[in-house]
Amino acid sequence: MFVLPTFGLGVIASPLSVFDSSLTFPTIQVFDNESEFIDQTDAPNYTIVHAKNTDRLYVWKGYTWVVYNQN
Amino acid sequence: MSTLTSTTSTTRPTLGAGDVGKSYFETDSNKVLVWDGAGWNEWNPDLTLGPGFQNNLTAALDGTNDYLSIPASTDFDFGTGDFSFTFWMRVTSRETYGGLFSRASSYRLKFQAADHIMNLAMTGLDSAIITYNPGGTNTSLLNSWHHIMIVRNGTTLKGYVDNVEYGSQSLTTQSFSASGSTFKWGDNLGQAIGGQLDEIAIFDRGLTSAERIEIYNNGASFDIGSSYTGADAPLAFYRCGDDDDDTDSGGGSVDNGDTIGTIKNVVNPGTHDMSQVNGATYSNANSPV
Repeated sequence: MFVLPTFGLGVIASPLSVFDSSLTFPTIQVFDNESEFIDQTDAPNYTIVHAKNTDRLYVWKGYTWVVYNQN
Repeated sequence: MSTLTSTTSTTRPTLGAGDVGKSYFETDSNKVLVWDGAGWNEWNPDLTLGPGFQNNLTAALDGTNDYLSIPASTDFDFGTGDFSFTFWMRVTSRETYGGLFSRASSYRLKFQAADHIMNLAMTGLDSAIITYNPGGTNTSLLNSWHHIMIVRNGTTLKGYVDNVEYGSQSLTTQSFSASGSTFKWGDNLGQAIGGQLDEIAIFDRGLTSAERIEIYNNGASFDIGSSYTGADAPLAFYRCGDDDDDTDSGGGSVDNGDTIGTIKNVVNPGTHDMSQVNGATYSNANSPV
């Protein structure tokens, strides 16, 4: 039987998730482009990532990405 | 993936000198916090982006005569019934009695230049103060994004700025109807506001406290049109350039700077769709939080 992998917090992840479960804060995942993750909904709450094409930080809040511009 | 520990503004811990670098996400303010050994360094959010529901564009008004227009409809004649308006605004200029919205003189939300009062004027010279910046010279509501809600529940009319209640009035016989009048956004009997409007929703019911909190806390990338359905659905919801069916003045797809063609009412396209008058454009500048 195929079992979906789960993250540490028990969240069921898609086998095709773009989010790297091997990283632990303060090492955060860096994407080349925002478009690689912005439409994904399987990140655990408060996952923090960076996109190089926008120079922004992103925190997933369950239903939306909270975005921080580089000042 | 790397996740932040969550906290809230009322439960934010006080850490010690050995906790340098500990980081939190504050769920009520959306701030990222990093402890520097003596205090918190804070990062304020700049915007939110919902998956598949992004907010990149707004409706931009020139402050001279631009406005947005919804054809007259009795659907917006609320009479003595409940209603709610929610929208985001970034006002940069106003004429003396610049209008955020109006249906002729029957009901209109003014944002007055001289004293910074925002008030809802009704038929019969009644008016309700929605907000007031003490001192008359305080311009804190200018040049930045703010969320405005006007809610009538029964005999109580309340106004909110960024979900803080600023005004309340007990209503008796005041009627909010304007048969045959175009619904204008960014205009009050010819007096304009300059700046941007976005995510305009009109309900023929009074929003609950929980709904107000949900709408405000979800920011300007919240799918109001899909979140409230059936009897709870808004009469209209306008994304001001971000709906796939919004068009430019040539009938084509929307780009930043285009003159507005049609802003679709996403909950019922083709009914109560919005257009522009005098050259209002789509703008991706100064994205709302």
